[in-house]
Amino acid sequence: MDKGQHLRLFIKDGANYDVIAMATDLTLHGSATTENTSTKDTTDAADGVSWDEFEVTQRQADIQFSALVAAGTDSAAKILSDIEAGVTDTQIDWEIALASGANNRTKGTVICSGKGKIVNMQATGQVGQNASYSGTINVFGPMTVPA
Amino acid sequence: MALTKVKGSNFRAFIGGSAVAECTSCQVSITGNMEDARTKDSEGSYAQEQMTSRGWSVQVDSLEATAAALKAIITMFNSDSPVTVGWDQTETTAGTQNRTAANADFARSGNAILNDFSIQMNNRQNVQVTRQFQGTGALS
Repeated sequence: MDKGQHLRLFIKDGANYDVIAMATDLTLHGSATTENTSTKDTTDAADGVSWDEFEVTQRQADIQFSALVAAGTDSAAKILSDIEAGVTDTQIDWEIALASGANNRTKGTVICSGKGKIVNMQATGQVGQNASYSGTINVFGPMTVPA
Repeated sequence: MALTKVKGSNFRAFIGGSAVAECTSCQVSITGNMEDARTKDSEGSYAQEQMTSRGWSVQVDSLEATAAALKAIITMFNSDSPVTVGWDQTETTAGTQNRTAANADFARSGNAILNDFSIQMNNRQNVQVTRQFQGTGALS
C-alpha cells in the first residue's frame, strides 16, 4: 500500500511539471452543490412522506498543500518562495501523481490533473523550527482523470 | 432472550454492491424535514411538527492507496449519474475480510450522489479518504 509520501503535487513550470519540494501534507477536497429536485410528481412513500431527490448543480474542488521552505531555486519553490507572486489570478496547471525514485520525486501514474489558482499562502517561522509554508489551490474548471 | 451486539467492523457501507474496502468508519443518517403546522387554531405554545419529506446520507472513511481506487473516486465525483449505496451487517468468517453481506433485514440501499470527498496524502501516513454520499430517492 502506497503511503502519503508516494502521492505528490506537481505544478507546471514552463514545459515541465515540477514537484513541490520537501512537501509534508497534501489534501484534495471536492464538494458538490445539489438541488432538491422533488416535485409534485414525486411519488409519496406509504406513509405519505416522499424521499428527497437531488441533482448536482455545481462542483468545486481545492488542494491544500504544505511543505518546508526549500533554500535556493528548487523546482516549484520558484513559485512558492515568493508568496506575493504566488497568489495571483494566474492559472496554473497541476497534477497529483504517484511518485517514486530518489526523494520520491519521479512522477509516475497521474491520478488527476487540472488547472487552478493559488488563492492562499502562508509561511511560518518559529524559533528552533524549520520554516514552513502552506497554500490552497482552488481548482479552476474540471479535474481530469487519465484513462 | 439474550441480545447479540453488532460490532462496528460488521456494520459496513456498500458502494455498487460491494463493501467498501479498507474501511475505517461509516455513518448512515436518515433525516426528516419538519414543518411546524401550528396555526391560530392551535392551543398552547408547543410546536406541532409534521414531516414534509426525508432524506438520507452515508459517510465512509477508508484507507486507499492504489492509483485505480483514487482515480475511481474522482471519476465518480465528476459523474452526474448516481451510484448504488447502502449498508449491511456482514459476517465474520475467515478469509472474507468482514465483507460478506449477511443480514437482509438490516440492509438498505438506494441511489446516491458523491457530493463531498477528501483525500489526505500526508507524509508517512496511510492515504485517508472520506466520502459523503447524499441519497437521492427512496431507500429500499
